[in-house]
Amino acid sequence: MMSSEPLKIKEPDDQLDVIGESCPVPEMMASKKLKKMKAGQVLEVITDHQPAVDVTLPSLCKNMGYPYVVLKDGDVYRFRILKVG
Amino acid sequence: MILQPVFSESWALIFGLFGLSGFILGWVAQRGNYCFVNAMTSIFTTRSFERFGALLILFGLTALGTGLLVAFGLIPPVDQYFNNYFAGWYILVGSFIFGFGAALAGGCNLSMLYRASSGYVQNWIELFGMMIGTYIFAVAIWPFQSYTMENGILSTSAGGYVEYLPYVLFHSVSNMAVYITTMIVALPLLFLGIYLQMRTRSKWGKSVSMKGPGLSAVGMKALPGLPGPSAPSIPSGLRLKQEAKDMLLLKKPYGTNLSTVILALDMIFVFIVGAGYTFNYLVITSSDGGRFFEYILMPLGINLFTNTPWFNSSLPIVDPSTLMVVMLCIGAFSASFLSGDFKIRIPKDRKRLAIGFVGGMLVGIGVRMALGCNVGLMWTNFGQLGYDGYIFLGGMLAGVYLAVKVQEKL
Repeated sequence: MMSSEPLKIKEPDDQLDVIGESCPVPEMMASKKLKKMKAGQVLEVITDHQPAVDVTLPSLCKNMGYPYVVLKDGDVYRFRILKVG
Repeated sequence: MILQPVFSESWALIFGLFGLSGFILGWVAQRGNYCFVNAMTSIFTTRSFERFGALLILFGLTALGTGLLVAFGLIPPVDQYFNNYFAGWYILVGSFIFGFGAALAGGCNLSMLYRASSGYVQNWIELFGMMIGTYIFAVAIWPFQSYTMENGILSTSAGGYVEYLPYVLFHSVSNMAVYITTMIVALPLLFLGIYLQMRTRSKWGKSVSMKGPGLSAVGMKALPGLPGPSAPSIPSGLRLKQEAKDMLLLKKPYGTNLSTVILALDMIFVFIVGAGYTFNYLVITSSDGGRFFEYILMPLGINLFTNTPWFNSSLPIVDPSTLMVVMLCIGAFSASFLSGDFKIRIPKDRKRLAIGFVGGMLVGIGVRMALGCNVGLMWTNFGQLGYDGYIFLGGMLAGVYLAVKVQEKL
């Protein structure tokens, strides 16, 4: 079983700051970033858009088969996605 | 033809009920994060059909509800086809431009309004862009477009029953013709929508089993209101009760399908309330958005309705649909404020504001060319048993696809 700890602790390889943006932008931009990343790398999406955290980013991860973790950081969320091969 | 009111409510009540419907639309769309554009972008970015499936279910339920009301003689067919617009090249081109602009800007006409009311500055900019786009359309495109409409150039020269599918298919508007057409329109939409959702969820299930249980929302349990892994120790009945309570207390957003059902019922409610008053069905979010530009200029002594094409032939300044749009915004604001979600949000990347403005202008041009937006034309037309909604759906999907590809290059 994959643990969430590495995703929580590991320094992200890339960041996407979409604070102030609403759907579909976080999902579209994250998808674009992930395409350019290598397997094993972690993307951190920083957002304050609750629906992106509730619905669209988890949907993206489930479709791609990528594990993810959500960390609350003050007013924003850090949504970390591990790209797997 | 002048419609006769089906029910004899007073105008005050009619306005009140339209206002209530607008409030429900704004509230539910905000709580369900309902966005037509998002439903389409996720097809092209992640091959997810879950929300697009919900859209098809929305169209199917709306067509089923309104169609059966007519088929069983409760509402006369004229109420269903009276406001069917002319079909033509402009719906296809307009919906394509609209889809492209909305996906760039970050919201369809519905989500633009409820998010603007929830504090998203990006959507304020989009709304302003849409007003400018409406003006550009009015002076640069409308004279040419109306010429092609009047002369039947790549356009039908009449709307109404000519575009009413029962008439198109059976040359009849009898109850039986409406009943069969309702089934022909609604059932495929419902089955396809459910199939697409099941297919996507089964794909998610396979991903989980292939990649291991770590795929589930690890670490999410610590965050209230997030869909974390289900707790097997809690009975499903109790969990459902808890979820319903959380939704009522605005701790949790509405699910996509719950929102779909409520929105379909809301549209059917508008159909019943408006029957016989000629404005039924017209949830005009785009026209009113464009017309606000007219209102803004009035204090400056500029009266577009006196000398500018489209504005001088558009609908009255204040009608029930205007009230509906205002109440939509109030409903969305109330939902976001009471749930603690309201916040003024400005994108960090200022380039996004410029993209929002340009996208908004394209939205304004597109919706006016198409004679309506994703709500007032596409969704509405499925309930009208017309075929403009299918044209709009195809054009919008193509526009959204192009925008996703362009965004990938930006």
